[in-house]
Amino acid sequence: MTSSSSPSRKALSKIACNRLQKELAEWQLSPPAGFKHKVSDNLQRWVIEVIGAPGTLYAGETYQLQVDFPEHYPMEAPQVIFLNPAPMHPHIYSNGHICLDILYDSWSPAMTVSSVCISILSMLSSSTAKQRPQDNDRYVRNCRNGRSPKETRWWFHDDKV
Amino acid sequence: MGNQVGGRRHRRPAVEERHTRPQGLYPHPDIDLKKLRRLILEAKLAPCYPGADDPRADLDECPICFLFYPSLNRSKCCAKGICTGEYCLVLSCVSPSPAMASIPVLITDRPVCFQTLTCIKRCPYCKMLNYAVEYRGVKTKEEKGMEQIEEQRVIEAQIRMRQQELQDDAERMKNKQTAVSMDTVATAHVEHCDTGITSTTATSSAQGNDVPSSQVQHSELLSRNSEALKQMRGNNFDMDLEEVMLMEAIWLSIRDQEALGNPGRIATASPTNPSRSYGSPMTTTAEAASSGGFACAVAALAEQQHMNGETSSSATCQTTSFDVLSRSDRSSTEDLSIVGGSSSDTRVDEPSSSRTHQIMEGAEYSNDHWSEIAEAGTSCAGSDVITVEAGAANLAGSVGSNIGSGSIPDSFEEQMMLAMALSLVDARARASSPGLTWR
Repeated sequence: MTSSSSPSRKALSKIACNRLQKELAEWQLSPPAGFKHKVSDNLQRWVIEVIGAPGTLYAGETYQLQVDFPEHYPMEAPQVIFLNPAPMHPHIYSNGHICLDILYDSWSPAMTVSSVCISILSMLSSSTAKQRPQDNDRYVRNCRNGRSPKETRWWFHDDKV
Repeated sequence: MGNQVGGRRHRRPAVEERHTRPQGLYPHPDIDLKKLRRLILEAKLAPCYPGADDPRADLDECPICFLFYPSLNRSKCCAKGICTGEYCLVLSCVSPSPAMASIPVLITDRPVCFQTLTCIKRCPYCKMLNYAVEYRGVKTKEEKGMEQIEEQRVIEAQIRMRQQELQDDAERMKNKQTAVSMDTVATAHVEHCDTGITSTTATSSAQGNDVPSSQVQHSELLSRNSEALKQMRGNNFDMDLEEVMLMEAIWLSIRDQEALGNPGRIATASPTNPSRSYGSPMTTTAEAASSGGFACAVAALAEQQHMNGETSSSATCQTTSFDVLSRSDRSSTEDLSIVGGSSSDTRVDEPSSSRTHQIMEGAEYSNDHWSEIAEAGTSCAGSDVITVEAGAANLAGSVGSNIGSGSIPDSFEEQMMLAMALSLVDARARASSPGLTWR
């Protein structure tokens, strides 16, 4: 479907397709609060609008999440990044990559797009300062060739946020 | 089939041969098909039935592939269901994700995991180490019944908890209403708003403690996060009742105040009494109801506006605050339909359309409210003959628009004063007492 954007990406398997269709139907029936799925005919790439929760640093601000599903979703985690501009957050790099364990090591096939979205919003909401990660520049330089965040060896250091 | 062996534990229907193989939905590069077949025939794994797309009463949903099967395997750690196809996939480590890199002891003898050091064999549901499943056959009627009973109990407990909260709130309100004079009612309402918000968070956290027992069996609830939804629905329900009771309390207190001013007023307020006890031809019961309702509507709106302003600034938890916003939005609709029924029929369905945009449009929204209520006021006055009331309504209109354009939180007290002033003016006018003084 979208092989033009990244030739290495394979089409969704039958099971992934099936499950994503059901997730989308469920989402349309009852979307998680604070999120809007941007309508498109591409099942393999969702763009989701995130609205900062009231009473937090990001209240009223809108960001866009891009969720790409691998061939073997949900056995394999989706790739989730913020589209430019990414929110200023100690765990979000300026290229949109998110340091969040459930997107990588701690992914479980029992999770869904909607549960991932809620985790990300919760991560945003609990932030106390709008700032980039300390190693932002170095990391972003390393990713210049369009590396996926899933290829990063993440070191999850902060379990508070 | 001729001689039945007395299988006391499991009466196993023979598994059809075609259900001992994966159904082709899944890529199974590393699965020992012979072993899989043996395990299915020995009823150690659920047969590979083709999954159904749509739910049916006798089918269970696999929380991973979202298809429906007659029976599922259960994880030994947390008893969550998983279909055999998914189980094979989880074990065979197709995914490069270390979380899925379970050592496939059951299905394949080959260690498929690529990085033994980082390999974590965890349950996809509870992240328990050493994930393994067992097969207990199709859920029996008793099991399903038990699940339903448990679900029912959880729901009942939640309802009881809310009712208790409502009662407490109502009692608190009553105490305040009776003990405190009219002038402090405004602050009482502010406090009530606050407790409303905190009680919401309390509910959600309490639910958090309460629910896991049911989650064990109803994994789809958790996995699709309809938990949050349930809370939202629950809170809406909560708010409606609360709101109605609150309005009732305001209404009663206003009437009491009027009755204090002139003891004969109560008779007029009750719609069953058609007598025109004050000699003035303009005073009818309908008018009493409508003007009283109008005053109430003003009070309700003042409060509503205040709540909107408040929640957008003070709430910290995202879901909670969103709840409160949508709740306050909704309840404003209902306030008017209940209390202001005589003065405005046109408003009932209007605000629901703007419900989802509430957060962005808080300020404009409240302005709309005010202009609308001003209109309602004038139309109400138009149908009435009393000049005093028309004047009051005009006053309300002008003040309303003033407030609408002004800042919200500062004017809250003023709005309450306006509501009181209206009802008092009304009462005095009808009793044809000339003085228009504050108590």
